[in-house]
Amino acid sequence: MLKALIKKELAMLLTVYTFDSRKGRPRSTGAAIVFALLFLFIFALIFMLFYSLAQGLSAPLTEQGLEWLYFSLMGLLTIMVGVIGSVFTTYSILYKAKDNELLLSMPIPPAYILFARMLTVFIMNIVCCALVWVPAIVVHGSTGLPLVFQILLLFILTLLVTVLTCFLGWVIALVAGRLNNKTFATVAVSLILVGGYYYFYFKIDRMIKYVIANGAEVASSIKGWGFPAWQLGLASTGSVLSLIGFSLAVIALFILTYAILSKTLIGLLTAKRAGKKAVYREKREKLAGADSALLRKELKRFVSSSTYLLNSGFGMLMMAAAAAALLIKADTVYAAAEKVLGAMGNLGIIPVAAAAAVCLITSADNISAPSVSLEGRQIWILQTMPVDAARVLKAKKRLHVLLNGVPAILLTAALGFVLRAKIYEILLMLCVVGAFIWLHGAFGLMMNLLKPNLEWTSEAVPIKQGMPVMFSMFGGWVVAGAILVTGLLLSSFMQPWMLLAVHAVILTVLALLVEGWLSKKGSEIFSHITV
Amino acid sequence: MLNIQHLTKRFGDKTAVSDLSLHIMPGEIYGFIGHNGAGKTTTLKCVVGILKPDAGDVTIGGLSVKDEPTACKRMLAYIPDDPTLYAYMTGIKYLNFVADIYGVSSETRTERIRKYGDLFELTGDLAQPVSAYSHGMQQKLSIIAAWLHDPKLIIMDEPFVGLDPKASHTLKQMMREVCDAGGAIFFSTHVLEVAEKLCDKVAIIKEGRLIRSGTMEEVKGDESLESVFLELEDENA
Repeated sequence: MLKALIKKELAMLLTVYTFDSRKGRPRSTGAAIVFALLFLFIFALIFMLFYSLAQGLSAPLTEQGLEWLYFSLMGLLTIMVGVIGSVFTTYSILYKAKDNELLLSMPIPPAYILFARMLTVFIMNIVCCALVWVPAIVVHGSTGLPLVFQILLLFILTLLVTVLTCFLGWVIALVAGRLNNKTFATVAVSLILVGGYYYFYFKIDRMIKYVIANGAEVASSIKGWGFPAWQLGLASTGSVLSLIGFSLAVIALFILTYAILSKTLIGLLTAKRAGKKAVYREKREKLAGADSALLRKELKRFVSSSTYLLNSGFGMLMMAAAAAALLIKADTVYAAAEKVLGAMGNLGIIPVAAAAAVCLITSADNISAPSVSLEGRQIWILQTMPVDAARVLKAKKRLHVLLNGVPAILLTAALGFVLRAKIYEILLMLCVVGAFIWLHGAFGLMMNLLKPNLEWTSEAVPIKQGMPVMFSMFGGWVVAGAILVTGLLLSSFMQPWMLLAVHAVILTVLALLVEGWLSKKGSEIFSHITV
Repeated sequence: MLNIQHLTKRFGDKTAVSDLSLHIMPGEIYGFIGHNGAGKTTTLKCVVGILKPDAGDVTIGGLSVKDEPTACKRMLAYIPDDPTLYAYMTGIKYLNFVADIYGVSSETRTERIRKYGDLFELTGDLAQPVSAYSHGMQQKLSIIAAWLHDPKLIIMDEPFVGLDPKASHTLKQMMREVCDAGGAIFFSTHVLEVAEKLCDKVAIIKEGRLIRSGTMEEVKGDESLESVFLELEDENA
């Protein structure tokens, strides 16, 4: 029975390579190979990233006789990457599987179901942990017993990461059952994780330098507060006692976690949402116009999905944060821009380059590009209502323009101010950015009408994997790049304000062309797409 | 009220509906019956403007669905066979959205939501998100939404599926009230007993072709609708 369960779980894990969720059918052999190669390429990139990080630490710490500290630090990094990389997936594997009810209706002990799923998490985590731990081993180049121990520790570390992710997944399941606003919580947690990642990314260089310069101090500190990490380091350098102690502690933790999780599994899998039932109180709603109702509907769709918010709205947050950061670091930014563009002998291009930069950032926000597909099986509602399809499409585009427009205006104005552009240049920069956002929103919508997908089973498919989103994003990058390149090429013949004016006019003309298509052909397509 | 003239709809090589003509008068409840895949849903989707006919025309209140779709849609309401609604809205938000689109005044919508919400015992759940509704509750919500703007023509695809007996009874009464007030209803069903008791006229479709239509007496005579339907199915096999 357990063998059959494990086989099923592993088969589900492999469906990532063998099944195309976008098309809802198995991948062809060629597509599966290409997909696997793409994964390998990404893994290779991550491997190289940690390889270079390990290179920075290994030799200096070995010279100081602190090999164990090197492995302690790389071990901690392995645990951190493993936990961050797989905590949400672990939660989904343990508690959100589609076959929960089917399995629970069969004569299978819940502990077996849990074991099969934890094994899947373990296998998934091996890949995550190996991406950090294997480069650490390779860079250090140990031989003999320490090498054997380091290889063994890959599995022990993976088991520890599995314990931690399963425990955190369990906590998420407990909390999720009590939350009324899951979207907000998911967005908040995701932003904290992303913020943590960026903080770590920007600090890592300084941290490595600190560890190298103060190796002995860091070592004695870890011996004090991080006894397990110290033992991990010692085990990696060949200490049999430390290896046994560390491994037994991890196995004990695994048994404890397994016991807690299997006791609560049925309760969590069958739990209904515990939130209070909202009470309906009759009140008179003012009559709103159809355009306003359509726009509010689009906004509600956007803010009710954490996937939509995080994937199609991240650029907005970046723009607002960048505008604030720019004003704080005004002098540094100006000096950097002067240095880069001055070296190219082209300081006059600054306003054009700044406008292109804002266009590039807004390209990450593809709100309109999946909006038709997201209608899904409910598309009949809009199709049978007495509103022109053109007005429905306009509402989708307006949301894109409004949500991107406000932070983009802030960022453009901040850039113009910080880079000491003239007032009329700032106004023209705003025209370029405004026309770009209009074009980008309309173009995304056009792509989605040409390649709609209403038959998705997870909304992540149209939002993250859809061709319209890809085309919209890459199209945005191409146009932003074209603004910069043409600006650079023509800057010796034209003043910056003239370049900005020309770009604004070209973008407006393009936007009008796409608008024309949307109002005729696009509306016709929308009116008759069927699931 | 509804005039379907020589309607033909093809999907690739397959002809789903072939040269179908029907005329539904104000005050009539018109049943549309046929086996699975006979072309009922395709016909209804052509009537409401979701599908574009390959030939023929559909007029509602004298206006062509092809030429004046928005004016036609203002007169009708549609309930599909699987009325999935916006899961991210609450029931009341959905009803207010529909009311805004159809321009239903604040006073009228409040009164109608109260009336139909109470009739279907859904008022207490209107503040819940649609995602928390059962299939039957979504069906009830879609019926309330359809009745909200007082449509002249109501098109329904298998409207009784998923409804509890009381809600089915309520819906039948509401259908009769619409027709007594001069409206018309065109609906598909597999429940022949319901069609027999409820409908003024009935049309039977097989493999996209109309095989019989008329008043209930004209179609079934002294027999039951079920036996007539089965006989016709065999005759045309």
